[in-house]
Amino acid sequence: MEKEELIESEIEKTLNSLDGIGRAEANPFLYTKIANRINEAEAGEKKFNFKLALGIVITCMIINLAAFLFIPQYTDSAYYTREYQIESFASEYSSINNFYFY
Amino acid sequence: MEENLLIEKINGNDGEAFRELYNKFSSKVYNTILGILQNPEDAEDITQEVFLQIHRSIQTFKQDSTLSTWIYRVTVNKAFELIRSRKRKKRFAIVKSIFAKEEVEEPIDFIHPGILAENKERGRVLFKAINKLSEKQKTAFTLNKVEGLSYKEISEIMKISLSSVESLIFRAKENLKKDLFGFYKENF
Repeated sequence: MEKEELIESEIEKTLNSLDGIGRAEANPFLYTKIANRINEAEAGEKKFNFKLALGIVITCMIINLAAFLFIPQYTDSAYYTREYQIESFASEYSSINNFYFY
Repeated sequence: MEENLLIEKINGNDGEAFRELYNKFSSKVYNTILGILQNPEDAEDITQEVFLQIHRSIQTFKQDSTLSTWIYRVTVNKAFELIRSRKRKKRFAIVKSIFAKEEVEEPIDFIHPGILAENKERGRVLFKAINKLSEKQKTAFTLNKVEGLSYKEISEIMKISLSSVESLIFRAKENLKKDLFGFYKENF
């Protein structure tokens, strides 16, 4: 019985052991570490943005070059195909004047 | 400096303003994390993570709560993220130890540096018992007893009602009593 009472009293004292607890302070150099990590992250971000911009510029240049090289040929063939289609369509519906005027 | 102005300046990448915010909150953040993690090295690492997170996402802070509440919320989340990841690793280590006969590391006893000298031993026993509480009970109890926050402040941080905080702390105390009774029965 006496032991149980002692235990109960010890439990109360233990639960109250945090009364008046002081605040723990962080390492004084912690801010320097944080500032360095922020700078590193920002530098990394700038590097990534530069690489991204460079990649976009190179891709645009490749697309332009490809367009310059391939589109004229395509345009020619497309032009002839389209002309042929218009002519055949027109002749089918007789919308072209086929009479010669003397 | 006013809170709004401070946030505006940090958003404008003002290093001095961020330093001011750090000076204002660093001990609150570190002390809370130390109470939850009970390890000074981990507490320093997570304090760094908290301030990096604050720097990254302060522009998303909507000011529907105070800056202090938001910072405590980030702090508690970051601390428990580490605990959860450690638990996952520990589970994996237990499985691994079955096959490889490796020993799983047990946490060392923690004595909070702010505890009065005459309470150090009892504080050590109490922190060990706090570690066995559920996540929510541990958060509420630590914020109240270690950080000295009111029930209202805790309810805002945890986004729960005042009565829920009371209930969490009451159940935490009951669980601690049970655990301590078992401990002292064996060690008295």
